[in-house]
Amino acid sequence: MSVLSYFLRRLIVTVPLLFLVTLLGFTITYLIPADPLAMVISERAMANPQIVQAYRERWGLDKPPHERYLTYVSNLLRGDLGESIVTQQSVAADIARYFPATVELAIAATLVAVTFGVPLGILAAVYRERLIDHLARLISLIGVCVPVFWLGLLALALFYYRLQWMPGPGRVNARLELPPTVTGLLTVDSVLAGRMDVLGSALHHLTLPALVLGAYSMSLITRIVRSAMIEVLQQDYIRVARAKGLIERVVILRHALRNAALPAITAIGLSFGNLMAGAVMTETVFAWPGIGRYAVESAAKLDFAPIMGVTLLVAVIYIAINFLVDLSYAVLDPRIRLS
Amino acid sequence: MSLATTLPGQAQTFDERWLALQRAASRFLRNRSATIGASIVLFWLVVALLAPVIAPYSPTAQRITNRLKPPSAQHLFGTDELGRDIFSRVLHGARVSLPVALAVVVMTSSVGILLGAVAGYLGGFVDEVIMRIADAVLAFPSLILAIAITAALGPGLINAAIAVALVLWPEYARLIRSRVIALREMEFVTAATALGVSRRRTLFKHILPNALPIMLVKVSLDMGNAILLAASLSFVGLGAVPPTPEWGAMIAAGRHKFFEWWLAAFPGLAIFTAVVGFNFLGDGLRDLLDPRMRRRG
Repeated sequence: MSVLSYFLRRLIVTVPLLFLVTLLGFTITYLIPADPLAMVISERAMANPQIVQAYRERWGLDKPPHERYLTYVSNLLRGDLGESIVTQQSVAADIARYFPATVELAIAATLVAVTFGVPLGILAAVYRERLIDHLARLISLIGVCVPVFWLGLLALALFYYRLQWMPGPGRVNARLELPPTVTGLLTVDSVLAGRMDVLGSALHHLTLPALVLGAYSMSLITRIVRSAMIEVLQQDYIRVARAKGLIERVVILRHALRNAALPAITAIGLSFGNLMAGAVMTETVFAWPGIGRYAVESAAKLDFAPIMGVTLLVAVIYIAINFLVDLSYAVLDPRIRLS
Repeated sequence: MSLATTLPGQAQTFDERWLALQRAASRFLRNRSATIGASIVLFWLVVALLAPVIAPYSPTAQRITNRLKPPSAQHLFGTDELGRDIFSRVLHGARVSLPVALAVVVMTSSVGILLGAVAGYLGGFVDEVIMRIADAVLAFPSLILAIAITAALGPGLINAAIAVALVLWPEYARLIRSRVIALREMEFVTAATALGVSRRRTLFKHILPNALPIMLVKVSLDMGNAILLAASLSFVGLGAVPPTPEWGAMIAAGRHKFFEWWLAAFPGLAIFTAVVGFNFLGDGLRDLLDPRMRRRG
């Protein structure tokens, strides 16, 4: 099957799913008793039926639910994600403003997770039941079980407050004048503008949240690389490779790792998707202006359009990553056919 | 294989059951993950039961003159902003977090198991509808969905538990569905059908009991997940309301107090150890109950 027809078939399954997601989100917000207006207008204004009525009409809350849903979906089909009741801005504009910060953080966290997780998993498998293996298992256990927000706070208390090695919350030193926005990724934009001071500050600010956020993914990657490598190292072709006198490094990196790459790539892909969503707590703790924090703030104010917008975005990213992971299978292992 | 081994769905005598139980217990005790996990979980259960007896102070008693004191012999974990003893509050926190996690797991597993079993057993249209809804729920970022639901229902631990349960059920539905589909084709099910056993009875008496061991593993791992999610909701201010000594809420209270590290450090340690306990227990149970999923190494 060609890549194109595979892509189209996946798309046919995906689009109805996304609509189901919107329907579900809409049903939840409709069924709940709380009133989003109570979050944005004052108590005194709430007592004035005229103001309330005006607001309801302005936001279409006076219409019956099916009509409201149809309006939402028809806007969505035209690429309009609606407006936030709280910020009174279009959700697309809000997301465009916050999303790059999350992408930057997620990429940095994935880099952390892969740089530490993959070698640790390999070492643990090669030196199985030895000290490094026990250490790797301990680290991955901690990474999975530790509350991210707690880890973030401890990191801030130690490295920012006590040792003063790291800057505090935020994305960049607030006193610096920022370079013009091109990609929205502060690191890239500062390089484009030749502003090394901004780049340094941005990287410095990025370090701690990326380490904290990357810890969880690193645990998953370590675990999966370890068990995949252990399985591969027991195969006959590894014995053959050793028997013909290849040095151990080549056996492990060329022969074993390549065959253990499939599960590792799945883990990395899935964890990148999780990072997009999982950044919620990290962004809250580090005052990181990303979509996670935007979603939390909107959720707390029952602002439907932004929650739905972020959800759809994350769902699309998730589906896209799954698709890329499946494609990479076919590239890495010629025996796998797309179907 | 021993003489006492019986086929799935086959009746066992009392003696056989007793023997099987003894054997299971001894295998359990020889499994390191399972025993470590069970001990930690047992520890927190005892703490939860005995907190009023072993806690040196009341978890809500305020002494403003004694506020923000570092750990000392009098206050092992120090005191918080209102002069409350953090050690006592952490102990009492077990009485909050464990029941909440248990409620989540009971709600989510019963909904998930029921829907997954019905979907897997009936197949066809029902299967399609249930599983597509499950897919849609899974497409939501779980924490964001939970936050939205809790915000909508109003802050509070019960609402947080409901939200977490609503987010987690599809995983159960998927897992149990795949087991039911596999079991549906087994000979003992065909035999039951041939004997004229009703569909409902076949599902609940013959198929589901055989799918339960794998659920036990999931339940144990999810107790940990539920503790983490509920604590996260409390941390962003949507779970426990003051003065409830909830671990996530206690961490939130220490959020901007970097100097007074003990405010956040000890409740976090409590969450961490409890989650580690349930994870170890789950891993151990997996080794014991499902040899095919046994971890390598």
